[in-house]
Amino acid sequence: MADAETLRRLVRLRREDRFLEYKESGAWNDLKDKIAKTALGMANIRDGGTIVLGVSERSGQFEPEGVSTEHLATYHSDEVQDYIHRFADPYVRTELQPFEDGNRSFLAIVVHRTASRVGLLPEVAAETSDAASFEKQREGL
Amino acid sequence: MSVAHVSSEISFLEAIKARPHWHVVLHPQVFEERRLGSRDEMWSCIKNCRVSLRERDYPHVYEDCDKGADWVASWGESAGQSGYWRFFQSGQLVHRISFFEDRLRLQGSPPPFLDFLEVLFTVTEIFEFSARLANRAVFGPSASVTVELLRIVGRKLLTEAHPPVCYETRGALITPTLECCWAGQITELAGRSAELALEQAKSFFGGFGGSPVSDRMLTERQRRFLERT
Repeated sequence: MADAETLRRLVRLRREDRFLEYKESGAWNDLKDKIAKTALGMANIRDGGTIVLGVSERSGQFEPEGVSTEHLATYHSDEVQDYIHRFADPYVRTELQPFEDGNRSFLAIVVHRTASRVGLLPEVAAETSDAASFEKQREGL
Repeated sequence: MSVAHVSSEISFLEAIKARPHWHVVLHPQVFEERRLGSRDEMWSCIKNCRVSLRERDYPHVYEDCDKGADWVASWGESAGQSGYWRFFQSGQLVHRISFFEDRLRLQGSPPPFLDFLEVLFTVTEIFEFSARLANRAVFGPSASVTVELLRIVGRKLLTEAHPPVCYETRGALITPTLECCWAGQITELAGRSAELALEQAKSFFGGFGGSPVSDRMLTERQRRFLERT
């Protein structure tokens, strides 16, 4: 488990990286697909990664606006873990860590590295591949 | 196609992207690069499936058109809106169109509102058009419809009291984008396009804090709109 000070430093970094991704405040149901996709990518990185909820992007700048209490209440560790697990093999382990910076609340979803490379389940891989082909086709439009 | 024409197409598209606008992406769920036949067939799909329920059709076929190895495109101004769409042989359609509410922009600043009826009607047209494409087997067995409202920070949702008076019902948006997404079997898309559109429109209204009018009234307004055919 990461300590709160480390997580606060991630917020203040205001720069995304392979191991760090920001999401603006949102309910689990609205963000779960994006979170799952990010988590699967992070699980293959050497030290895993962290998704921080509560940081918005405005005109290319990251703003730590915090996550609302209403949105925060929609995140349950078992549900997050189970949802991500539906897409991946082997199991991707995640931890939810709420923390505060100043008077704002944030939620860190810490994604642990898996022992072997995470692959998408075949049916998900097919869907992902189709989506990627369409995305590539409309690149620049 | 001349370099100047290509350059004008790109700069037109970039100008739309720089402004608040609708972004619509329709496609089958399974990617097949050559799902559709010739480019003539693609033009025919658009022209036969476009929706004409009001003075503006969806999507509009403009004077400026272009074609590539596996796509056709059209762009221009119509009824004060700037639009650009590209339709691929894979069955994917990408459409960007400026807000109708912004046609009367004064001094370059867009009006800070979106009309709830305009949102309802546009989403209804998008789903009706998608349903017609589905009925022509453009998508295969399943499809995806994504609609985004882009660059809408500060916008408020307006509704009517007694036409033509409009009043503000909700606070200004703090999010730059609202998105709704539907994916499923084309039987559902073709059979329930109006209901799906209503659900998606309501999800946009939710982004503004809730629907400005009752569900019953929304359904009634949509029904009257669809009866204009």
